[in-house]
Amino acid sequence: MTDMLAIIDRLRPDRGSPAPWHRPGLLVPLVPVLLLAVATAAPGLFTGLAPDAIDTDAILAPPGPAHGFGTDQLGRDVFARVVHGTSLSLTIGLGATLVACAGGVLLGLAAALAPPVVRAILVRLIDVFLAFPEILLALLVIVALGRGPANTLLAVGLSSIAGYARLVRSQVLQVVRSGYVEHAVALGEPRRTIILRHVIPNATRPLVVVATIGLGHAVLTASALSFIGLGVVPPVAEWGALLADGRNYLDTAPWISVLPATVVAVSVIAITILGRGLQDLLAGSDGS
Amino acid sequence: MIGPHRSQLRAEGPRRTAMTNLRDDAPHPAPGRPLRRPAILGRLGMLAAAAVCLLGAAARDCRADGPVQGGTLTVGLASDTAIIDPSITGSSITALITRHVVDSLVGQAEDKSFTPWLAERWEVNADNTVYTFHLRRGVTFSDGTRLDAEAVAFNINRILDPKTTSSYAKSLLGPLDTVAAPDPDTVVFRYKQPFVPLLQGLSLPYLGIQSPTYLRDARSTTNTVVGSGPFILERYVKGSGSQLVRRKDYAWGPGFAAHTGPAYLDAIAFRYLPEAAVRLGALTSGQIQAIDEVPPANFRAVQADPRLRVVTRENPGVNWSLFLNTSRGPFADIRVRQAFQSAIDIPPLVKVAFFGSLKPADNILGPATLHYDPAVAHSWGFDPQRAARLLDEAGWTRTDPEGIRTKAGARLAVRFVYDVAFSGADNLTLVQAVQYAVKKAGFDLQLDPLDAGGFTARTAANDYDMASIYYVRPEPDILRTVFHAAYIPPNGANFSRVTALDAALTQAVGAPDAVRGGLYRQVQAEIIGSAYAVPLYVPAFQLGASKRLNGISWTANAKPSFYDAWLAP
Repeated sequence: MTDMLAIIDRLRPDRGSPAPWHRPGLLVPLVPVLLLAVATAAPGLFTGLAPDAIDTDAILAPPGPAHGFGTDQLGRDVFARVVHGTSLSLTIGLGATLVACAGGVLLGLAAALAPPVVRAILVRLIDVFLAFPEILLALLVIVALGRGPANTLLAVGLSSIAGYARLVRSQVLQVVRSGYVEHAVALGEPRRTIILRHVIPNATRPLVVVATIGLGHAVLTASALSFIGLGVVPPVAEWGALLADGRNYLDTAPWISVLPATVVAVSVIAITILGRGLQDLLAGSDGS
Repeated sequence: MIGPHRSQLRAEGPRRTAMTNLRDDAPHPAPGRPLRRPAILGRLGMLAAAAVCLLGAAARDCRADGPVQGGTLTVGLASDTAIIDPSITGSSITALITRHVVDSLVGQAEDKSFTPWLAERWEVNADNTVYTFHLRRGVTFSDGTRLDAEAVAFNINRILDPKTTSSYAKSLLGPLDTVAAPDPDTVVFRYKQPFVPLLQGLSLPYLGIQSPTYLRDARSTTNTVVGSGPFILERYVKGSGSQLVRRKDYAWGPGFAAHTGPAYLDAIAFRYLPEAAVRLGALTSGQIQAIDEVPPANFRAVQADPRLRVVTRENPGVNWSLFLNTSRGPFADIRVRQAFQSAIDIPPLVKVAFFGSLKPADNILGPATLHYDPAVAHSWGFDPQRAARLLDEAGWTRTDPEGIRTKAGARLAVRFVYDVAFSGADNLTLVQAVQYAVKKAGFDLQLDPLDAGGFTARTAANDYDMASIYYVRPEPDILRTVFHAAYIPPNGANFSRVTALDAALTQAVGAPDAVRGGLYRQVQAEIIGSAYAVPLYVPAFQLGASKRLNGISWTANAKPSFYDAWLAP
């Protein structure tokens, strides 16, 4: 028995200190995420150039001192477009994740706690939605609502509700069987209080971690929508739209798409690593 | 005939030799690499080929004497077509493909002269109301049906029949009264009022003659067409392409072609390759032998490739233009339209968007169109002071913090509606450049991307300020299709919703040639002067082709024909 416990103990992550400043693996992705935050709040700190300023004397200029990321087919500064696109892309990603979380919590709670017939229907509904690729659902929403940043946000958010709902439901089912909920029931607390005070806070805790990872995914889905021409309206700078703009110049001016793509990749990876780190951190604090 | 047309085609650079034929004088991106070689160059080519043969170790493939029989030509196309029956669509792609499948009564050479084809000769009466065609004998459709006057009349009556739902082909016939077949070799077209552009319309594939046997039996002609042309349509699949095979017993041909009788190629495959990089890659890697719409960014690279060439033919017809909605919103005021027109410095923007591969427009009509008026070019242009003055006069006197003009609290915002699938990425680049240019004058130009259904609905509901389109036709009557009140959406493409030109356009359809020229000059001047439209560039057919592909001929509406074409081994 003790051997077994020792093995489990060893397998458990984060046996070290949970403090983030002792974990370089968390600090490294923190740097790009902080940069993104600054770019979102004050893009002017990074570049003095306007994202839609056309310079017909600098068409497809390669990266250099004047234009760090080069210029696109209209002589617009690619770096300025990436920086100014950050706020839109991250806002869409963040907003979409919030929409998905909120919808996921409501749907997940209902699917766990509603009367059996409703519950069965909701669970099947979630299954059906999980069977569709998210991008397809997002396309449907765009077709129904039309284009634009707000609709892109909604489309990405609504299309990923099902995953969150499934997670919340399984958590709720676990929490409901836990000792403190049984105690609360035994003490005769009203059902509403039990759900609000005990079930929701405990069932949604892992959601924080999943949402952080989901944020990177949402940014990607939004970019994908813009890439296929269903996201933002030109000339708005948005990451996916930048990639789409550059794809016809891949062999003549690769920087238009490759450099923004690098920024997107680094951002999504950083956010995802941060999310995983957060997961480990929370798991560690759980264990201690 | 040739003199004036040379100038209309606006030859770039010096003329080469007196022997150079007209086709080589058309604007050409690669001077010195004429597609259709004049005789002297052809002979030089043969000498060069012979020299290579002498030098080469294996001389078995060396044939210095002209076209080689056989082979399959594969052409990559940027756009698809939904309907392959040319009589019930206005699609350029359908025209390009079916040009090889259906023959026309008359042909139109690149110098705009009409040549015999299915009709050996024809007579037109003095006031352009009766056209009599004498058909060539012995012509059959690929299904064996004989091509006679009855067959021609059947085709024309089918197009006139509202049940056929023909729009563009029907518009080419104008106010046709009757078509009669007095004997098997004679067809007579009768009009109640004079109509001049009939021959030009008949020369287009849209009025090509199809087999009446096939037409009677076919439940739907959307995916099939049976004609008397040098190729047979074996298969057409929407979203994929078309497969054409040679007709071995083809014994006639258009008068403008270099030969008569069967085509040289065994087969032509048209493949739909919408992604520019894919289309170009297929050409440069040798998988296919020709593409249309050479991507502007790669234009120079394709030209520089020793195995490839680019051949450009400027489109005659209505240039790619922004049509300003004169019926509502800010553009209802002529001063606002003129200000918008004066706020754009067009040549540098076109140069940027197309990397110098296309010419900026200076008139609503392309220079290759009949009765194109070069004088209009000097009547307008970039003039920011004029734009500012006109906007002041029109009451748009204040500016908001973003620099957009306002009038009684309203911003000077104009919405450009477009169909995403139909507008190429380069056009969108150009519109964004225009957007930035007019912002300096105080316009907030908003892009409004739509799908095909949304575009049709919005234009039909008159809920837009600007739309764009271009039309390919060497005949100025195309202006009637774009500016006559009868074609205001949803009935057509009069996106400017102009009604003031009806009288002149209707009169010009039947007037004698001298009078027509004057009328069309007046119409062109008014379209630019009243700023119904802002022409941006002269569209062109940009064919990228392997140098193995020889003998491409061009029709008057700037489309390549592969009837004379052959592939060098």
